[in-house]
Amino acid sequence: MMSAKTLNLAAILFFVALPGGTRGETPMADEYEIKAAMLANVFKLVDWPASKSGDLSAPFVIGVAGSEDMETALGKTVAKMAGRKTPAGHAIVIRKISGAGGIDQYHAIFIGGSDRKRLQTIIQAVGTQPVLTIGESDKFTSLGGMVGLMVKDDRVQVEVNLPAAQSAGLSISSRLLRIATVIGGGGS
Amino acid sequence: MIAHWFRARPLNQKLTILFAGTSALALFAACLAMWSYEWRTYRQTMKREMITLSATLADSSAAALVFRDDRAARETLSVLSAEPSASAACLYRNDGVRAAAYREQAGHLCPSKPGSERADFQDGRLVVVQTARLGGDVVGALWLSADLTEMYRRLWRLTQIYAGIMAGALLLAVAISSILQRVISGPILGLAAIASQVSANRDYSIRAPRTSEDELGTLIERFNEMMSQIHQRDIALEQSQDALEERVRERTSELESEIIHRRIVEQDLLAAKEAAEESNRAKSSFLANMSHELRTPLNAIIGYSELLEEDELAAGNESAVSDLKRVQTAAHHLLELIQDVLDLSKIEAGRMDLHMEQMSARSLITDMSVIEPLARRNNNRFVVQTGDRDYVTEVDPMRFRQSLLNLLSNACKFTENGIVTLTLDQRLENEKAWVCWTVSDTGTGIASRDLEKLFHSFSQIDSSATRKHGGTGLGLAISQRFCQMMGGRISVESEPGVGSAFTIHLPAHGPVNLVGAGEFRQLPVASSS
Repeated sequence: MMSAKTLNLAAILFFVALPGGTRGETPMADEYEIKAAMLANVFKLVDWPASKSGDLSAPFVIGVAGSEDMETALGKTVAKMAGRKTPAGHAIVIRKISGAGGIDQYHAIFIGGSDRKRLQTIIQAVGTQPVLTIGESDKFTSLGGMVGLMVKDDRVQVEVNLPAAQSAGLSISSRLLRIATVIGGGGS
Repeated sequence: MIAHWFRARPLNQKLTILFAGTSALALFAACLAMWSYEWRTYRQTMKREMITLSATLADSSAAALVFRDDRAARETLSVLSAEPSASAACLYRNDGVRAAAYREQAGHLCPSKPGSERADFQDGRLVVVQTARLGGDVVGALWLSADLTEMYRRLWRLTQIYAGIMAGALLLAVAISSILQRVISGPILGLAAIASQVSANRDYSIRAPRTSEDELGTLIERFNEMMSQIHQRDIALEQSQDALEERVRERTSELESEIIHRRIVEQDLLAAKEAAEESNRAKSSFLANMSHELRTPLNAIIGYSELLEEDELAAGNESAVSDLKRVQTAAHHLLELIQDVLDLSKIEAGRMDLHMEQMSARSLITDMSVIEPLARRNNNRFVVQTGDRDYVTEVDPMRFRQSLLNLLSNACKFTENGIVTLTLDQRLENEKAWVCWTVSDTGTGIASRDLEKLFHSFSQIDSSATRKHGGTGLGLAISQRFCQMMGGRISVESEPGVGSAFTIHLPAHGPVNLVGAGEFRQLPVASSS
């Protein structure tokens, strides 16, 4: 597994080297657009328990904390999706999270930045509720977050904290797990 | 060509070829159908397998494509190593970038763009394009090329197996059909052999054994029936031929006996004829001798009765004179009769000799005035008519005069108060010139049915006339014989109640002499009183 990772890194470096400096000066907005698209894809690879996904009239609520850019990019991405609905048929709602209250209304929460305190507050607030937590910090999964999305150039690295997701009652597709670095699982 | 060759085959080979050929054809058709079914099935199975595989791979690699994890994509494709027929494969991301390739090599290059979803056989391989989806969205595509070598190898193997089966089955079919065809060909060949035997030996008593109850059996039975019919016909023909020969033999013997019989009759007839001729000659000879012997004493009777008459006349014994005259008349008549019989006998005995000389036809009738007294007795007029012409003919003058006088005296005897005419002329009959002396009268005439009998010996129409007129009845017959001996004949024409005309025809000789003018001339002798 380590050697595969090394290869992966080499491939990343290879891909970085090819486009030259233009990729290096990519604006932050582009990075969040990619992240937003990835986020939308992650939703397709995660199954929520029936209590959260059974009622089609109930919207699929995404919370965004600590990232204005992500909120904007995600709005754009959702706008591109057919009827602003999930493949299952739920209408998608994006809300900004300010505090830790009302966590159970969300299906998924994106926590931007690497503010340790904010991360811990929200992760703790979620606890074992079936709310998918996604972060962009390197330490996100080690802090108890479920899915980490790290974008370097146009490559996306995915980290999955499988015990956290399982304890929350969320099942993550093997297809995601196959490409992800799994933290805390038996396999890593 | 093949049809000619087939026609030349013997029956058993034909049947074997037909049976085995039919089986082989049916087997070939079956194998072909099975083979093509297998071919289709292989293709469909392979297509289905490859589509399934592609779908699985595309699904497995969807996340890797989405998250641009090319390593994971390559790992996904590496499972194709378990499928030997997969020759090349590539994964494309949604933006057209190729994320991974598998076994890409020369001749098996992935296209720059995968194109639409499909599964086609092309250029000896199967190309499958399968889109990868994630949550209903197309996130990429898989292009897979499958090598068909394995399929072709399996089909070739199948072909070999089928060929082997066909060869074995064909051998078996030939073997079985060559045995089974005997059921049909056996009776036919047997029949043919018997027919040849019959034809060669002309023995129609041979019969073919019947071996089956089908049409062949019926054929053999009919053949046997025909044979027996021919046999019977032969026998009947032979019998009828024998009968015919027998009939011919019988008829021949009948004919032979008939011929013998006829020959005997013929010999008898010939003998009878010769006997008759001999007796006739004997009779004639007898008569000739007898006539001569008879005439001598008769002349003595006549001579001495004339002497006696002169003596009695001188003595004035009238009654004796008249008696003696009667004796003389009877004697003369007898002499005449004997003379005639003598003549006839001479003619029939072939001893009558004629003294032929060339004579003028007119000169032959100049002394016919001797008939005048006879004509006058019955109050007849005698007329001689000659033309100006004279004709030369060859006659015995004495016999000719005898004949003509006979005709004239007959005419005078059988005519009363009439005319007796003698005419001389020449006629053309049968392209020959004839001198004709015709004696015609105005007497009683002769019925046509009696004309034929006229010239027969001792024949007079009316026997009472002989008694009345005298005559022997031999005159006409003798005259006819004389004329015939002189090369001519006497013809007669008559009409009862009108008169008769007797004509002597003699061949004309030499030139005709003109005597003078005038058509008819009455001779001085004819001047009647």
